[in-house]
Amino acid sequence: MSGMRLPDGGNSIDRGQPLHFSFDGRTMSGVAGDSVASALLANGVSVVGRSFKLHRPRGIFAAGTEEPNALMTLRDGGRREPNVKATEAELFDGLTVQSQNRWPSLGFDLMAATGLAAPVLSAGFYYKTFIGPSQKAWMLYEHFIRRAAGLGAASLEPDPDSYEHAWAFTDVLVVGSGPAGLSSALTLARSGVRVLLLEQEPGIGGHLLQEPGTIDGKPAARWATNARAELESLGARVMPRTTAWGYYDGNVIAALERVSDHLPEPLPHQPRQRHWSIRAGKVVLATGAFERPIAFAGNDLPGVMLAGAAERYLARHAVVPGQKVALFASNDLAYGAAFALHDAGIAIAALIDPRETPGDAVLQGLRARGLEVRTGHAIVAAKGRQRVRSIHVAPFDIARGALAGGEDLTVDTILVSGGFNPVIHLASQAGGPAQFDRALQSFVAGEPREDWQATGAVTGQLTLAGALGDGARTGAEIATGLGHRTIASAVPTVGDDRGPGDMPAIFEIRDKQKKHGKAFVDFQHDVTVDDIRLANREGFRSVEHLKRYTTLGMGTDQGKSSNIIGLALMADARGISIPDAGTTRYRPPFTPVSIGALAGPEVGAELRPKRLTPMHDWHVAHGAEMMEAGLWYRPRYYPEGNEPLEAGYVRETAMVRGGVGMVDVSTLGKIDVQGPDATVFLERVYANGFAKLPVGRARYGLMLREDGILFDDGTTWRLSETRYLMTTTTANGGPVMQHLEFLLAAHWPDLRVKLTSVTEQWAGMAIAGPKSRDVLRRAIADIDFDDAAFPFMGVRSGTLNGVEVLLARLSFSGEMAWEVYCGSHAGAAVWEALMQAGQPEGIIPYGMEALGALRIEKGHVAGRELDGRTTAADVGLGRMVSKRKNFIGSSLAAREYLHGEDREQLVGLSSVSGTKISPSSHLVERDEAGSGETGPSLGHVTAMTYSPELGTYVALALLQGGMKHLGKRLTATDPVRGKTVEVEVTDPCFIDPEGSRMHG
Amino acid sequence: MAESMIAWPLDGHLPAGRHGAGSGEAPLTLTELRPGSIVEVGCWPDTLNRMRIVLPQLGRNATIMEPAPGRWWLVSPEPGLAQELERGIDTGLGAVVDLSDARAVLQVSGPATIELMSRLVPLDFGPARLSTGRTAETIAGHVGVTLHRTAPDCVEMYVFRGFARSFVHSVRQAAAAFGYQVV
Repeated sequence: MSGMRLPDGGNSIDRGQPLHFSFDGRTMSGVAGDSVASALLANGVSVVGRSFKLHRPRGIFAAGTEEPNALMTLRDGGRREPNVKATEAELFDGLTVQSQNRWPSLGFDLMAATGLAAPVLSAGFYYKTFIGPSQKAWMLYEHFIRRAAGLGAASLEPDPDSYEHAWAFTDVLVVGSGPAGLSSALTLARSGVRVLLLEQEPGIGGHLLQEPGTIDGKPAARWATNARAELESLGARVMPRTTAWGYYDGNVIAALERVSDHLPEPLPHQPRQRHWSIRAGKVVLATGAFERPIAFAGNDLPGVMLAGAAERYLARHAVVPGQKVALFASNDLAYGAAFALHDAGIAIAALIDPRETPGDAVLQGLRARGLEVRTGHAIVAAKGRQRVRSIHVAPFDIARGALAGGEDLTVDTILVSGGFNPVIHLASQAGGPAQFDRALQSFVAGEPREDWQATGAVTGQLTLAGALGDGARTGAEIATGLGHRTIASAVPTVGDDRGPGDMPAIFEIRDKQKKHGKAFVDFQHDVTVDDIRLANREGFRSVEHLKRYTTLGMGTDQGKSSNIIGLALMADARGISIPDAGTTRYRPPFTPVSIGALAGPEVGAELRPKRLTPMHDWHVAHGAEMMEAGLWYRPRYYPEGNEPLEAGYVRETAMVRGGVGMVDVSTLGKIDVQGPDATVFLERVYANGFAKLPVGRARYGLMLREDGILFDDGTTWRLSETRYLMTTTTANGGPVMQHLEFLLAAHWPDLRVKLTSVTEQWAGMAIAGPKSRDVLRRAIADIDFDDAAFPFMGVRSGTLNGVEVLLARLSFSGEMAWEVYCGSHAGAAVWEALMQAGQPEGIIPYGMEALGALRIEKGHVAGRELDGRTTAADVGLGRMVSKRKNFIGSSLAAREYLHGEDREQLVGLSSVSGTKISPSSHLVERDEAGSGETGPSLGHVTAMTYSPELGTYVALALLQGGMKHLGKRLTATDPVRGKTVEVEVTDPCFIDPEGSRMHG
Repeated sequence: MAESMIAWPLDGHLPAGRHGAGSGEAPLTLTELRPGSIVEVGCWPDTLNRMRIVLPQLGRNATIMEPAPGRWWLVSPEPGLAQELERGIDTGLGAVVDLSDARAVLQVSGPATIELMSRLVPLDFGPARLSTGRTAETIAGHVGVTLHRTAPDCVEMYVFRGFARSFVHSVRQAAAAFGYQVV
């Protein structure tokens, strides 16, 4: 027989709210408050999945995060989620549940035939079998292995839900709302401490929700409800459905809140999940303990369940796992499950305890119920096909194992309990090596490396009174430490408390005389007791090797129910103690975290912010094709109709050379440099001199890195004796600011200089071309644009339609040009006014492609040439570097290595035949002999354009030996795209080398 | 300057009305603030005390924030504060930089303000942390933000003008979970 729901009881369900769901296509019903697991049990489902490797039928084994078997695929479509533990998933109306790793069905699984081959599917099977004949062969094998052994499949549709990131700050974070966590949080909150309490389950109370005992005369579950209400009234934040999954430096806890997982779909505007980063002054780890099973033959059959899980399903959901139950336990606490089932009218067929005797309280409970226990006995084997049908019970001796004799008993359910393992995952992530506890025969937390204290069952306090008292003590201690005077630690009175009694080290029931079948340690990865011993025989003895060789504890449950048994068996096989065998460390996450929650809102358009100039809307309205430049969006070109890119930029370039054009340069980095020592500062950070720059003039400056390599270039305008406006490249606005701020803060704190980013304060537009002066004269009346009054590199201020404007006569294009700056809020209006003013001259806007073409024709360097490897001399600016002063980079710029003859240096290239030069080309010697060999790369093309003025394609390149090769013919080859062009090495300045156009 | 020459960064990107979850009075109100002046003032190590005295006098009715040691922001509804401060602060005392056009300013107010902040910025708004009147430099959605808590339930966020639309989009997305109004 299988599980069912009782007509009464269940402290977590609401029978008034029936729910319907489907399991593998069958419609079933549950009630509000059910987990998928409790609902499946209530519907009599025994087999819920097939094991990973051997495809053995498996049932629900636990009731929480430690569940190894009941992995389900939930929901449909874009919300389909594989590998969800049925024990953690809350039921909702209309939920679709599908079992995994079975074909064609759970009851009849063809792959179960692998069970016939089970004797060879042992530890290291894949490594031993699928070797050779080549690496390619493995890839073929892998395909089939993955089909045979697997978990659920993820949805290929996009996730329709949103996810949030959030931050929380608290004096004390309490992880876990069981008795210790709640009493700790209560004590802290009552003492005036800011408390945040996390609970991974939907209900607050943890183990209190299944405790048979009373607190202050009330049911324990009621006390938990009251405690939550009190906490919230005191201003504490209580967060159910939130799992603390990672413990990071600085007492930062990562937590996942499942906001809408319990709903068919999130409420409007609500996220599916919310990821929390919590910074806590102190952390209380009240994470409790997992019950530990005992390994025996057939222990993975459906119908075998942890005793505490059965107790929980009964207390919370009024669900029983079967009708004829055997308890097999080596501690007193587990009897609670049998007693509760008995009291609910379920037949307890046998109580089996390998110890000499249980404790007095248990003996009393047995007497009161007329039950008998077989002490000194053990379950040697469970038998059945799709479910437990019988057990073989035999006398047992802790030293010698199972003894001869015994008998078979008919049961449908086995409740097992071999002790308790503290949940030390978070403590282990933020602490020293775990310590072995003899009384528990398990590991407890090591030395804290962050500011946390463990309390309650996680420290081995397994009684209710002990956990409540320990929690209150921990809370009071922390509150006192935080300087709170009135400590209100209230330890409630506990009735009908129970303890674990003596818990001997029993991990496996082994019958050395007779083989009974497989005994499993790790259900999820099908690791048996024999696999552990095999690993030992084959030399994989260290815990780290054991884990990797057998895959013990490597499933989605991360060995929560299996690791300690595995270690104990390995220690036994090696004849050493468990602590000597060691333990592995726990890594985050404690339970799986969805990728969506980690990504949070940063998906789609939110992946990174868009940075728009003040004139953005104008560009878009005038048909500009926009392109990304870092985070900025800039016009690439303004196509006329269906004009292709090259035609467009050639038209725009020609217009600048022959008429006038305007380009948005608001993206240039701009830094206000101000203070009595501003000039001294610039002298130190620029490689060329700034001391003699007069007020009202601009200068092109070169900035080196500390290692002497070129960092950035730009013009700096002297606005007053003590104030400059520095401009940088678009890409380096941020890095230059950081570099300069660092120098001021770390190297020269004595300098009275302030730096402020004014990139966003100023809208910038460059107006260029032989007719630019005419346009500006018309637009700005209060500035004299005559060459004498406003010479090249001059800086002047004026007004345009009442807006203050700042102009500098600079030229990136090589034509007569000005940069016009104004406050960003007025940027669009000033741009529009200049476009209007330029109508008689036929002014056009131009984009990045034309800007690039103009600078290439002029041989002006940009980011492709300032590539973090070139020096000033490499790009033809060596003469600018001052030899009369010290500046950042001056010492290391003198390194011999940076002055070699054959360094790659800037040259121009002209296409000999007039065909296009691939911008990704390398330069090689011409293959005159026709050998088909290209020879080594002599350099590479950095930028390419069609030059309307020269009527051919030209390029800039970095070539070994640089201008030494003037006039030489080379091959520019791009083997990836199969493009090869003959080029001639030229001066990088193709147009107007005397600069007569910029001047005059 | 003529008002017609001005384009506010969030103009058209904060449509009036009630948006997001729930109905009735929204727990959040989003407003683009349009201060006439935002001015940064810095001082030298030896003029810190003098500046602390001078600044409130010069700033008159301006709100004074201190986003970093030795750096203040003065925000005023009136334009022209930078020029006024430049007259009162010579280079021996400190530096004055006009940032009036450099930032978009978004005000969030209402009972859910601090809860919304927990979705946007990694800052502690608890007592003795970012209490009323305090300022912080932080990031929200990859964008640098100067944040000023002007009341228990009111926060003003100053962001680089160029990021204003992206920023307000992510704020609106987070605020929708609570429900918000734009007046």
